[in-house]
Amino acid sequence: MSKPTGWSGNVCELKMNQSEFIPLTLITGFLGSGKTTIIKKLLQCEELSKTAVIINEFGEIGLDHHFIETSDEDLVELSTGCLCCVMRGDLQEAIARLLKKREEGWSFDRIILETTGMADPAPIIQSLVLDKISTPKVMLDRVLVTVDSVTGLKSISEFEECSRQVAFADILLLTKTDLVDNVEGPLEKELMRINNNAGIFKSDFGIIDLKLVLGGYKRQTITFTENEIDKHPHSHSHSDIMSVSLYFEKPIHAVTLTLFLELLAEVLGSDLIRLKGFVYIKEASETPAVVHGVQHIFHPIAWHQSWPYEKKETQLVLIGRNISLPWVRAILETIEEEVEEITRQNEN
Amino acid sequence: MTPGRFATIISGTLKAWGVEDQCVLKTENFSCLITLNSNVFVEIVYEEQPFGSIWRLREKDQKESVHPSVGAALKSLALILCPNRQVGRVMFAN
Repeated sequence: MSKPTGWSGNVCELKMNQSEFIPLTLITGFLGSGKTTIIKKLLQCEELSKTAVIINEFGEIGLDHHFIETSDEDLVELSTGCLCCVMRGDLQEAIARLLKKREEGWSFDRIILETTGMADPAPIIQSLVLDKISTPKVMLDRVLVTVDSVTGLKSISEFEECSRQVAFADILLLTKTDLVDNVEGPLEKELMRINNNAGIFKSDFGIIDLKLVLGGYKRQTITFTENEIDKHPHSHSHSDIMSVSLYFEKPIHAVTLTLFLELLAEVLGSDLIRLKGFVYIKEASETPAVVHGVQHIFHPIAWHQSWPYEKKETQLVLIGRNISLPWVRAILETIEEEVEEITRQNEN
Repeated sequence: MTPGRFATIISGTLKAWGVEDQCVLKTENFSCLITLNSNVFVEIVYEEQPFGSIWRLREKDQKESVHPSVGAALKSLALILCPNRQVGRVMFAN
């Protein structure tokens, strides 16, 4: 296998002072660990105003791109597959498209690639480093991995994908640190056990030191080599984790949403890994409610500025185990009927 | 509620709890009988009454319990079929 220009056997040793290279920051991290939030905050910084974003989503409904406020031109969405399994060719094409646009005059000086929460970084890194299409001009700069301070330890112990993400990090970003008392405790020890070369930093509500992206922080050496990348398996199953995408046309009462989330948590327990999406609320139909949940912990319901798609409807993605879409729909329909019935009785 | 949706709720719940393979499920209209490992028998009946819908649960040789919502009914059913299963509690965090 031929080495790309600048290859020195160590990804992070690729030299950044070669101006012809466009640095690519790979942001990965387990489901719901805060990747999109961090990217959203990063893109608000002047220093990153010329940044192209590639988002890879796992699930039929691609939603993350709606949460990132940037122009459509600056963003490429790769959905319905996981980059590390089936879409590496798509990534190369996406980068090639970006490069072509750049040649045509669209100016960007950096690429951020957000993977799915279930991605194994190894084949993606391999693709980025060794791919002949992109490597002449695009260079993997660093791998940022978000780790949820609340659920990270459990995710690492239960999901190989999560521990592999940690293993490939240049920088580990602890998120949701405000929700735990002792971040420096067992989680940090476990992270260091898996990858003691990565710098561990905290994000403050999605805000991180720009140096972690642009360079200039106290660098620690990454240790994997070309051979180590190659030996990782290129195909794997995402075990029994799956995503289901719920579309629901009718608006629901606000209380239905709360009861629905409670019932999902009650029945699915820790098998519900992630829930996110937009909800069409009857009492506030002008804008959708935004729902974000990681296992049983949910962000407070927020309101999106406007409907991100033409049709007003609920669109939810649930990721976890043993979740049946007809069941989710049946539960939502039934709770809404119960609430509707009570509302009607109260009115009478 | 339709009989189909009723059956979906019961079967989907058993799948979520991981006991689907251990159960024999007989569903007819708005009632079903669940037999778990040939020794636990639970009958579930959904009814629409003038005051609202109700869910009746009756374990063999036990007193019937009546629930006003699907959530309450499934919580009660969990105590019978998988009492040791850990449940989640929704927490909203800033």
